[in-house]
Amino acid sequence: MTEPAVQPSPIHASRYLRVQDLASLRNVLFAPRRPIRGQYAGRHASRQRGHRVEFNDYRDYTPGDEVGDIDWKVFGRSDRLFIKLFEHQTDMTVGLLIDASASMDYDGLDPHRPVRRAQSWMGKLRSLGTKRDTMRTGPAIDNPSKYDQACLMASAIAFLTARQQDRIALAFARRGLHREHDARGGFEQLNHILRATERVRVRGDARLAESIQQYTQSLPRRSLLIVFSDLMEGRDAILDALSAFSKRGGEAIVFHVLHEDELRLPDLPEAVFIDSETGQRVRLNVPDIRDIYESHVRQAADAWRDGLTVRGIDYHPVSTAMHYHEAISDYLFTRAARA
Amino acid sequence: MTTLAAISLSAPTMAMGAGLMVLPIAAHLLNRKARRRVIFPSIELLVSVSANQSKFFKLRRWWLLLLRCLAVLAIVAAFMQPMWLSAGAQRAAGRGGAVVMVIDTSASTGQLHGGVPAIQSMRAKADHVLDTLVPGSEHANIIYAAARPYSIFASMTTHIDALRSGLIDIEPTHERADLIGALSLAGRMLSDYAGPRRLVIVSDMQESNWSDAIDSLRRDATISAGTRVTVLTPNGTSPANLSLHRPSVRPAAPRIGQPFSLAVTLTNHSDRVQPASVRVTIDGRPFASKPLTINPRQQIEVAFSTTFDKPGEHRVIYSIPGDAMAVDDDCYQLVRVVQQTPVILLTDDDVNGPGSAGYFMARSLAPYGDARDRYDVRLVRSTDPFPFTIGDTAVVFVGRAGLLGDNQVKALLQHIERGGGVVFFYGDAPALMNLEVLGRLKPNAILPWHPVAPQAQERTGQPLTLTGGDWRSPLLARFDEAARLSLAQIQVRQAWSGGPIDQNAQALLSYADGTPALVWREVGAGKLAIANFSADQSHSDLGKHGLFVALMQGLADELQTAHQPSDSNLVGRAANLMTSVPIDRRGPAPLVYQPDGRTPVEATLDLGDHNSRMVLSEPSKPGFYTAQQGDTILGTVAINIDPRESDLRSMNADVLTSALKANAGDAAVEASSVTPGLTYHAKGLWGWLLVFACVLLGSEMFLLGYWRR
Repeated sequence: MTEPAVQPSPIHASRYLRVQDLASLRNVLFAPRRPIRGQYAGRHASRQRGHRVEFNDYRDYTPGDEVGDIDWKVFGRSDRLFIKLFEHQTDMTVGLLIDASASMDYDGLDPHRPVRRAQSWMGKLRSLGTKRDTMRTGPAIDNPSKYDQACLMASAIAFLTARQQDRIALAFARRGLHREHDARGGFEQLNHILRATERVRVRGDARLAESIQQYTQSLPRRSLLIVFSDLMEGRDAILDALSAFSKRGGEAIVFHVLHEDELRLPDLPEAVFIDSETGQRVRLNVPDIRDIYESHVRQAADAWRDGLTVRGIDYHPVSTAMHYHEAISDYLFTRAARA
Repeated sequence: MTTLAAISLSAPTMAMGAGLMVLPIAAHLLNRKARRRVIFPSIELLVSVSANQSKFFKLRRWWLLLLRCLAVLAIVAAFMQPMWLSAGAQRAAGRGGAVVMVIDTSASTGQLHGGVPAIQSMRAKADHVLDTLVPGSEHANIIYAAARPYSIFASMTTHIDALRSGLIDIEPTHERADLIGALSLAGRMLSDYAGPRRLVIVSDMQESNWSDAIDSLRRDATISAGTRVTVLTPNGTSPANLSLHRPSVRPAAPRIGQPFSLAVTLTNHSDRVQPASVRVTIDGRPFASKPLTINPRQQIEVAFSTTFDKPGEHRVIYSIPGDAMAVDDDCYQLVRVVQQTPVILLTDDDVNGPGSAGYFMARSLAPYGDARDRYDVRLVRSTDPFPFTIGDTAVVFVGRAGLLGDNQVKALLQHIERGGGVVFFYGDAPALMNLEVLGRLKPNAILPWHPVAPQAQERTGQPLTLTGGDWRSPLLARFDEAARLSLAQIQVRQAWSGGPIDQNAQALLSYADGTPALVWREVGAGKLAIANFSADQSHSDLGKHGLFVALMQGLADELQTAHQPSDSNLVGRAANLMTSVPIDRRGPAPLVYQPDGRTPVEATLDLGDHNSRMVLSEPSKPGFYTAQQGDTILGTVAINIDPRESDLRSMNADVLTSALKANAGDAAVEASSVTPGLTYHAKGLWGWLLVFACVLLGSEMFLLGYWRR
């Protein structure tokens, strides 16, 4: 008696995607807060009209309107001519922009980092032989770097998006924009995205504002842009780039990914801190500046929050200490609550 | 010791320990390298807040380094033994106080206390005294009290370290110390200083050594007034000691085949009965051993009988097992065996002219006139230049001779005092005058009897007869009854008269009227005899009898040296080495070598026709000293330590301090068994420095923990 054949999963095994972690989100619809303009029929509201799909509103009749659009029933009751408006539901384009600068590679002061990487490689090798099992359990990242955290979240969102039959695009900000995949739907696109996240080597600076500006021009006007970054660059330029996209009708979400050590300085008496991107050094007595530093970090985060919120952009800080799916759930439920 | 203002460093060489400073500096540099480096995502915020961190933190490591370095310096400084000089000490240093230490280095300082030589503890005490001195300010010197006292430096010095270096090699000598000479030298050195003067005496306080000095101290001013005198007395009691000294051989110059006795005096200087075993080696070969037990403070003469079948010098060593003082456990003796016993016949007679006294005297001593004779008769005239070579001569027979010069008489006295024998025979007026000259050299201490004018027996017609005698004496014991009767038949027509003999003299023969006929007394180590008769046939018929031969040969045997002179051939004193081989005047210079046979010693040569004398100025070790000319051995002399050095009893310090007070007037004299320097006007700082170092290290550990918490 042979075992029943297992249906192969359409999703590529990736260290950045653990499907079972997203079980709690199976009923969550990842949808934009604004109406968007789509290419195909979908489940998201659109300002496009012409197809009577779902009633939206009434307005007074003006000459030139289609006579057929007049709601005669209302006319019969009120003796006034009203045009019946219908909402057009379309698919959504989600643009993922991941900061792949060197600063995103920070995963703390773990002295066993090489071992962890080796384990990671061993996990990857194991996953080659047991794809299905890997997809069920997925490789765990015990001490994720900021990039890891960003990729984990981006992969989860990409999975949710693909599952909704929406289109996904991926790009990296690393010494400027690196467009990986144009917007497409389906799990094949998800697999491409997963491979791309694993393939990228973080280095250099991000040039995030420039990347956002370029990337948003390649996206449809009313699409959803999700940025994963530690926002270590000039705030004004980034805000301007995001603001421009928002004004064009797009919606942007910024996940501010920070390592726990950045929120609370590592437990060191004294150390020389070297900037991962510029190589600049500063010698600090950590206990002396810990409080003031945390205060500055909070102020910086608040500044980002204020600057983005004013522009109608969602801002959500994420610590690497949080589990990524918790971070996504937290964001989605918060977003739903606001809606 | 180095003085820095009010602080004096006892061990400045420990400053080399400051090199340990490299340890905290190296630790600092290594820690600096090991500072944690963190590759941080962005330091923009860190840079902005860095201005808020404590400026002090960058100096933390420097503070720790400073504390560690100070701790090391404090520990090193503690090992340098700094002393804080009180105001009085500084004033004294400013006035340039003077300190002279007299250190006894006599042979007795080699005595062992618990296995440690006394000289070592004396050196430690002297070292402590030096510790109390202020280098550069106080003048000091060290005088070693040996047979010839000497100081380390010719004059006082402020270089205390040099004095300390001089102390390192201090060793006990084999000599008897001239303590008075040393104290006089110290007094002269101190008298030049107007400031505070201190005299420190470091000695084993041997009573036999100091007793001579006490009398001199009470008699002669040696130490200048105002001098503070400190006597450092030894710790503990004197150890038990056995010694060998005063070797003797009887007769002094035995002939080949002649039985003779070797003897040495064994003395128990302790207060308990001691077993001992005296071993004798002759010419390096064990000869005999004699075990015995000796009572407290007892002297025993241990004798051994033997004969020699070869002429020449034979080396005899007496030994006892080692004890508290090793240097007196061996005693050295040189036995010179001769073919014939050398005697001198001092007469102006024609010894070949029958009937004269000289004729009969020469015939009685050398009847064969060849090698078969027992005596080698050397004829000397009163007109011969003196001193004639009488060094190895056993007996000098003075017959009818002319008037002797003062030097000639003195030479005869010296010969007697060194152990020789001299016999003056009745003679004309010059003979009596020679005796008077001899007697005047040491009144009442030389002549056994004072003869006056000769009795003109021929005028009275009653000749003298030799009827009385000490027939049990070794000289006359050989005369049996028949010989005595024969002697009584001999008529002596001329003889001196005089009063009673000296109380120290012994009358061997006397005339019927009680007039001494043959009388002698011990003078020094030898004997002087006066024979109140003459062999001249005009005076008596004695020379014609065989009894005269027996009497002459008996005198020659009995007047030979029986003991080594106690005041000669001692370490530290001039000693005469009589050569037994003529010196080749055209050969290399003769040298005298120490007992090791390699090291030459200072000696002066007094050339003679047959025998020469080499005077050793101050032999420094006991043993056999050999004179050589090239490879030819000229002669040997045995040198021993002074027997008084073996008595290790200590003198009561009060006796010495009272004598010193009497000597120095108002001097402050104290005796102590501990170094007075410990009561000196300085306070040790090393304890405080160690406490300071502990405080520094504690602070360093506290700050380290506090900053890392």
